[in-house]
Amino acid sequence: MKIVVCFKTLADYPMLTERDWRVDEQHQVDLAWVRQVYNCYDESALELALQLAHDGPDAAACETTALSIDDSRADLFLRHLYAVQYDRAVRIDCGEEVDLRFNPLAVSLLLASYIREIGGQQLVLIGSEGGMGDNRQTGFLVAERLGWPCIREVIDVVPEESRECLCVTSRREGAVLTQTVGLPLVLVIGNVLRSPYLRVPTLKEKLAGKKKQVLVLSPTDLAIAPDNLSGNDRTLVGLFRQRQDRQCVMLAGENAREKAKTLYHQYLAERLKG
Amino acid sequence: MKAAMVMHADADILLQAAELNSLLAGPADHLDSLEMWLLYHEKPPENIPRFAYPLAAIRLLQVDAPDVPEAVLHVLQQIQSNRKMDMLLFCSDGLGQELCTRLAYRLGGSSALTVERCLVVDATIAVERPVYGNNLMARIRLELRPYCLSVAKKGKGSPLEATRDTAFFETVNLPPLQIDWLKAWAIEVDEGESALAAAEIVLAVGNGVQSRENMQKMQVVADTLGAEIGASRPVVMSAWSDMNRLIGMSGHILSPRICIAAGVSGAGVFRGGIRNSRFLVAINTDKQAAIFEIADVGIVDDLFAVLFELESIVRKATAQNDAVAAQERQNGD
Repeated sequence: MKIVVCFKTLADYPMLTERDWRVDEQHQVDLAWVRQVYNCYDESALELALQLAHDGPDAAACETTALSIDDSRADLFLRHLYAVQYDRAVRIDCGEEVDLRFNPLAVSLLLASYIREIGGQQLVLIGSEGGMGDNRQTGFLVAERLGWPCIREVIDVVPEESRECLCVTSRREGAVLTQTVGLPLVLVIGNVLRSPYLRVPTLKEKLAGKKKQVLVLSPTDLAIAPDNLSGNDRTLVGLFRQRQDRQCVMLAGENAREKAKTLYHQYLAERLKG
Repeated sequence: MKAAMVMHADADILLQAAELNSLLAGPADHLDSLEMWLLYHEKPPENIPRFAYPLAAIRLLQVDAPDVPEAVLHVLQQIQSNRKMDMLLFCSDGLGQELCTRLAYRLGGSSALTVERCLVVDATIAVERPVYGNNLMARIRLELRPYCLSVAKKGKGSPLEATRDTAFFETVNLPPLQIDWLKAWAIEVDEGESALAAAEIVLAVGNGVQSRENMQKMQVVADTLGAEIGASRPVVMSAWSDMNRLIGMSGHILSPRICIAAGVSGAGVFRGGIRNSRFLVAINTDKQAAIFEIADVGIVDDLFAVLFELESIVRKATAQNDAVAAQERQNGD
């Protein structure tokens, strides 16, 4: 089984303060200086794929690929993925002039083209959210472009005994769904129950990973003309920080007991009654 | 402009309707007709929501496999080829988001998810939706018809009223799709998730709780307050709390009567989960924490010290009230 995990790295948003969210006239936010981290859903997807490939009964027959559309800053992460035993690390570089933030159609075109034309994988894992646009659509669109079935909000996947099927667990509104499914398949990964974080490589594995080459592809390598990436079903016309409606009243007091008393008597006692 | 709302009878259709109703406020004046397309599995619902806008038709669409979006998409494609709507509105849940995206792709239209606001600008549709981890809002113009929108989750809010006027129900019979890749399936209800979603009082705990043991202490506080406990993503990822307690853009979006956010820094994705609370208390040792930006009342202090004191006060007050009530009953006897 050949597995590809499509992932994205993001600025570590919780590090930013109110003053850092400055939008320029071109609707851009300068986050180049901020530490990058794995998108949390993609990180879970990357670990799930490793468990499926390496810990399952068909470990020798599995091949794992980590794929990202990004600039060279992602190479650090791709080498890290080599260190945790990914077989291939691939980056699609579209250049600075292509804005993919709010264009999941173009992102899905790039990913599906790689899978169809070069990778030849039968199983795609992708985080349910990711990217600055928070579009939440890329996994669904990859499935549509490939003509494959798709399961959303996946929280676990394990091989079935028959080895030709997977047992996929996904979350529904107020319920958990378990499905036995055949390949090919796109899995959109949600809040994973077990092992949401990527495993940690040994020092030896890290050093070995650093020596490996990331395969860098351009859209042209995927037979995609630049015009095909600029087409979009939507146009960004504004980007702004929302104003907060509430004015927070800070409770004063000598100690926690005083503050708790004020909170209860002035604000909660009546409200707790309903 | 012709629009249809795609709803599914397996979930609470009155709550779905309330969310969709809020989205209609923008384009309402431009709608020539509004339909409801109601997906159901075995039995159509007896009640339907009473919308603020008149419905031209309610079309009942039976699907054999409601948990398989491919089967639902097949049905929606067929009805859209007959009805040719300009705009299709979908619910906020995962199914609504998936159907919205995939149907727009198949129809050559535009789509957007987690839509907070829909506007008509110069005869085109624009939407506002959170981006950059809910730290910014984007206004996006949709370029292609049909415009497919999935509304942002609002929390339980107020459901629309129900009506039994089913006189203009129309059942649409469509051939089902053969699904050969799905070999078996089973579904299990998750009780914990439902309890938090419906809670009137919520204790939302963040990374400041520091351990699973402390989380158990927070559960005692929550029980005394009559609250359901929820958690931020770092707490859940550290296995200090169950995943079905996750609050945030990818977990529960809540609108309780009271929310106490303790030890939460206030990352954008978490704030999105509690900002609709009717009264919000924030407790954090860092006075610069972003959570205070959306709170009604803030306390800069150790969360354990404040909450244990609060628990003690509430416990004493409850005991006093119980004693008074018992005395009154005795006097009445």
